[in-house]
Amino acid sequence: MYHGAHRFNAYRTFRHFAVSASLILVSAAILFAGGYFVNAPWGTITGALGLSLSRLVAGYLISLVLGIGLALCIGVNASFGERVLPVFDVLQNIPSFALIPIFIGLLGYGSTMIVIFAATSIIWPIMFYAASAILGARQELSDAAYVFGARGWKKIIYYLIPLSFPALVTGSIVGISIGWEAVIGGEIIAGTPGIGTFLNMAGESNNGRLLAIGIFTLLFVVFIISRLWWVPLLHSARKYTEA
Amino acid sequence: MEPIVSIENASFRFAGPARPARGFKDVSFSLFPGEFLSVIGPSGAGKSTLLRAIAGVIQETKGRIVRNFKKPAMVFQGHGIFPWQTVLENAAFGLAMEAVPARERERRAREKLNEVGLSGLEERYPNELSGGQRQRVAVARALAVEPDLLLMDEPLASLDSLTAASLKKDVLELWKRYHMAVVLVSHLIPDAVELSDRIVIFKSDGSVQKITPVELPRPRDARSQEFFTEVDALTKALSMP
Repeated sequence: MYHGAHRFNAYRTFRHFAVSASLILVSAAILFAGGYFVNAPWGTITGALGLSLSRLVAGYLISLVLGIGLALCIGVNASFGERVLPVFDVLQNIPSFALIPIFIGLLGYGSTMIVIFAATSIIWPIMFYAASAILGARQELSDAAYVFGARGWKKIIYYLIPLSFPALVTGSIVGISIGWEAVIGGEIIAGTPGIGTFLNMAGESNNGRLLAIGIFTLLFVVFIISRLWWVPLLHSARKYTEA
Repeated sequence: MEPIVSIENASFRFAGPARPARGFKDVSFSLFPGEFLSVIGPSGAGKSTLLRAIAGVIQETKGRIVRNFKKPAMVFQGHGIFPWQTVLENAAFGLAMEAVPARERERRAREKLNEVGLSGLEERYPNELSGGQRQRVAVARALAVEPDLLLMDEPLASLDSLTAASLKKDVLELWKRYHMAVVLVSHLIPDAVELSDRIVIFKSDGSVQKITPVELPRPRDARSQEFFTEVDALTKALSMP
């Protein structure tokens, strides 16, 4: 299952790359012309961004493991899926920021809280996209896997994981964007060092220059991650799709 | 001779109110090694469900299906090949599940692909193939495991007439060569007459109306008077309430 926006042909075109790269370059040119980059505190910005990114990656990895695990359990055991999916449906609809006081109460104001908070936001698209791919697959594929001997762990390795791979990529892309919000929001609320706190402090002190550089740097990192990681993964997932 | 499949008053009913009322009911017949048996009947009569029950994908809810086969294989109406695998990997899938060493399974898969006319397409993905080629991959995958029972669920239904005729000819040749038992589900009476030793006719309520042998000598001439007479008789039987 794919999100409609993740159709592969759009990502394969040079135009897609050119438009997104142009956005970065135009932003950089405007900031450069405005003198925003002169004596910019790059060490502070990259350090803050590094902290936020590491929390995002940690939260994503936790979500990925749990999300795949749950999706596979649903794929292997249909009655398990029937029981848990309605529960997950309710849970994913709870606004995650409404729960942040609970996370702070349990885990304090540090990185662990932000990582776990982000993970609880990222997990839903990964799990739901993968589970939907498994449950929505043509019955013939599942029957073929069974008839030709893909049962037990072989069913997971040779059938369920490849079947859900494109959905995992799409779910991850959606999850990561939600994760950025959770990490930055969590940092602002908890006052934990990171790009969220950096942007918040720049805004509170009416320092538009730092705010602009911070947002630009974040945009640049998101663009690089997308081009180097998600777009190639989307391309490789293309072969997993039906005609 | 011991039957390879023995179906004794077997029924299957789908669970849940959204499902059709029944799959099949009170079905009884036996299939013998090397026999080519076709199952025909109206849409929704439970033919494909019966095939899935024979394969063991679903379990009969009443009666008994005795499965004496060792290696089943199945060809599906919509081919059922895996989009994430190449033609070669698909053909070798069953062998991989049997833990056949990589070199041996590649050799056997290539051999079967050659037999179904797909040499040179081994590295392609299913979305790069035509409908007929995909169905041939499905046949190669089934044959690669050297099955003693081949289940075919309307394998020709989604193909154009030329491709269907060509694949039908290949299936018949491969059946003769490998002497496996075949169950073919079809809604095309001429195909069933051309290929089968016996034909099971389903009624629309999922029960068996009649089991009839096809006495025509092989190879069968689909343009002969005897062939048309046989087809007409079955058509009449199928249209009876």
